[in-house]
Formats: sequence, structure tokens, C-alpha cells
Amino acid sequence: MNKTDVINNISEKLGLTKTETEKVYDQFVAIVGDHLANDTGFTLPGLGSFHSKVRDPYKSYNPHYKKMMMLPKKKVVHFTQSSAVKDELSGGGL
Amino acid sequence: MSNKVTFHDIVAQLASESGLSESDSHDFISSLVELVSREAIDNGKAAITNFGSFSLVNVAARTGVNPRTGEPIAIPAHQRLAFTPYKALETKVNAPFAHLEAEVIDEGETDTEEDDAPPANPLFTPSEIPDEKPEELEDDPFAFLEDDDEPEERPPSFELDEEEPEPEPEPEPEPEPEPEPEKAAQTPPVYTRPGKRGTQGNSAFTYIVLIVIVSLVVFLAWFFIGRGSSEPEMATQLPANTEESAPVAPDDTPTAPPDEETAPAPEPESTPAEVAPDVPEKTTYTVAKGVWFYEIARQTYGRAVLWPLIFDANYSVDTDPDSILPGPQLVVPGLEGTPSNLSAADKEKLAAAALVVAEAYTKAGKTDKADQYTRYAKKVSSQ
Repeated sequence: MNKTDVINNISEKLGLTKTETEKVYDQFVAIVGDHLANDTGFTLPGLGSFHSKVRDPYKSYNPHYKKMMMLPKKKVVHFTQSSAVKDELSGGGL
Repeated sequence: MSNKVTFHDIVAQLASESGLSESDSHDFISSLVELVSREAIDNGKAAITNFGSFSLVNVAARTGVNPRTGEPIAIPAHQRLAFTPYKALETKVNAPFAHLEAEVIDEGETDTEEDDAPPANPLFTPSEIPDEKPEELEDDPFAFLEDDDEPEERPPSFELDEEEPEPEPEPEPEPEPEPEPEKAAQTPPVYTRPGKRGTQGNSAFTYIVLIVIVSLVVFLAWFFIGRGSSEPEMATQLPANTEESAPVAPDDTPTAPPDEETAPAPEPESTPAEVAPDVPEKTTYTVAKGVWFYEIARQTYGRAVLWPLIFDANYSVDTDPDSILPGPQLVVPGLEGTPSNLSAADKEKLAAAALVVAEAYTKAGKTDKADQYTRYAKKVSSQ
């Protein structure tokens, strides 16, 4: 299911045009991305929670240069699945 | 994750930005999440375009520990929903650290600078005079190309020879270095000597070294052109000196096979001392893996077609010219003329060398190449 399918589906459900839905979709993605970029975590109920975190620099072997490299620190997105998803995956709600 | 916003905050923000009512925004996000989680669980894969993709990953069974009692617990194999951010999101989130780059680390080094850009090279600026170059070039991966200012790196026996007659700074070597910097820039990793600093991630250093090399070449060119009027009488003295020192040649190059005969000795000439130390005619070249004579000649002479000279000076006809091995120091014979404008003697030598190559190819069973170099020898000698 790609973006178009998702938008078709949602626009039907909400009674919006596809153009409007796509605009809202893009705004939603921009909003959550901004939150993560600003170190703000959030939760999407039924899916999981997101937060960003600075990963420390670490050493790693670069097979191309055949040398150890120090990889710089980086801010990355972390995701934790929601308990609803977890329960469903572990066999329909324990 | 110092702080969080609630789901309601996101709904309210989306409502104010999109102009939808809050309940519509809520429905929008809920249905989006519903669709995505539904599909991820059913198909094992789903994506929110430009945000990230979700996929089910398998987690192997393991034994955990009950944190309260310390008892081991068997955790069965299960699946987990994993998230991979899209590149756009990754870039956006990492924007504060986007300027950082991976660095090569030495064994002893334990830590790196964190917030700064890659360390600026404090060694010297292009405006400095070339006097400081020799120390600098010892770390330089292309140092061997710049043969005119690093007597320290040569074998000791070579130095001995240089002490008595001061080798003549001739005009011919200066066109040689000119094509070299660019070529060196194209293929730096091949010639990085082991144990020296790496070239990766240090492009600032490389550029500065190149700038200095180019400025030195320009300086040398100016220097020699300025005294070009005194050259002719020097040239007349040359042949005698060359012959005189020819028997010494094998001593200069301990690694060269004894059958090198066409390699001329460095042409010594007593001239007034000058800023740039000396420009010996004959140089050595350590063969890197995967490099052929063709490439070596291009590196040293600037003209690949001159490679028979190098082959002739180092190997006998029993060697297949295509089977050069890494490791040995090769002798790179000097030229009387410039690589682009060969003197008659050079052409003669080149023709002879090409014949040797042709013979070597014949012995190696490569007759077509042998023919090719026989023709080349004729062509050179007829010019």
C-alpha cells in the first residue's frame, strides 16, 4: 500500500478530497518530523512511541579503507512499539 | 528524549495548520495509524511516506531474568514491529550533526573531537617558503614524486654519491613534476605508504600539499628560465661527466638487478648552491600492487609511452612485462631531454628499450604485443 492508496482510503473515510487529504498528510508528516528534530517525543496510539536521541560516537571497521574509523555522533530516531501491537503479535492479547 | 508532546497536542497542531476541525484531524491521524499498523501486522511491512517504514522482525528466543526474583525466564521467539526512518526524516533529525564526518583513527587514539569540524591543518599555509617542505613531505603520501627536495628518504649509499659532486639542477626535470600533482590527486590511496597517515577525510591537508608542490614547481621554472642563458655551456660538459660516473651507477641503486646497463648515472655537475637542494636524474619507485609499467611511467615521466625505459633498466628479457610484482624498488632512468621533447640519445635508448620489451614479449609468448613494440621501436628511432 503506497501513499496514494492510503490517501484514497482516508479521503473516503473522512469525506475529504484527495488533494486536501494529501495536504493534510504532508502537514502531519512535517509536524511529527519537526517534533523529532526538536528532541520532542510523541506517541501514536495503536502504533508506538517515537523519540530522538543522540547516539555517541563509536569505532567501527570500514572494510573499504580496511581501517578503524571513528563514526561521529548522530541524532537518530527511536521507535518503541505500542503494547497493543505487541499483544497482537504475541498471539492476540495475552 | 527530554520531553514529549501528547497525542492531543499533535492533533491540535495539525488542526490549526490544516484548517480542519480537531475531530477531523483526530480522525485523520487515527485512521492513518490504523491503516499502517493494520498493514504492518498483516503484511509485515508498511510505510508512512517521507516519515518512515515499519516492518516486522523476528526475535530469537532467549533466556531472560526476572528482575524481581532473579529467576531465569524463557522468552519465546516472537515478532516485533521495527521502524526505519526515511532518509528525509533522518537528515532532518540529524541536522545539528550533519557536518561531522567519520575519521580514520590510529591505534593509540581513544577519543575524537566531537563538535568541531574535522581538525584544520595547522601545519603551514601556501604562502610559506619552500624551506619548510622537507619535514612536511615526509608525511606526504606523494612525497616520492617530488624527488628534488627530500634527500633524507633515499638509501644511504645514494647520499654518499651525491656528496662529492653536487648533482646538476638541469632544466629538464622541471616539466616532469608538473603533470604529477594532478595524477597523484586522482589516485592517492594506491600510493599511500603503510604507516603514514591516511588520506581519507584529510582533503584539506592534501590540497595544501598540492598547492605547495605547484608553487614550488612554478618557483623552479622561474628559477631555471631566469638563468637559462648559462645552460648551453653546461650541456656541453654533460657527456663527459655522464660517462665518468656511469660505472658508479649500480651502487646507487642497490635493489636494481645487475643487468641494468642503459640506466644512466645521475649527471653530476658542480653548480652554485641554491634554495631547492638538487634534482637527481635517476629516481627509484616502489611498486604498489596492481600498478603496471605503463602507470609507473605516467607517474614518473608524465608520459606512459616511455615505460620501456623503466623495464629495460630493471628487468631482463626473461621477464614478462605484464607480470610486475609489488614490492621491489624500480630504477627510473633519467632523460637528457624532457619527456615531451626527447633528445636523440633518449630516442635511441627508448628504441633499444622497446626492442628489449618486444623480445621479452616474444619470450612470454605474446607475439602481437612484441610486434607492436618492434614497430614502436622503429617509429621512435626513425623520428
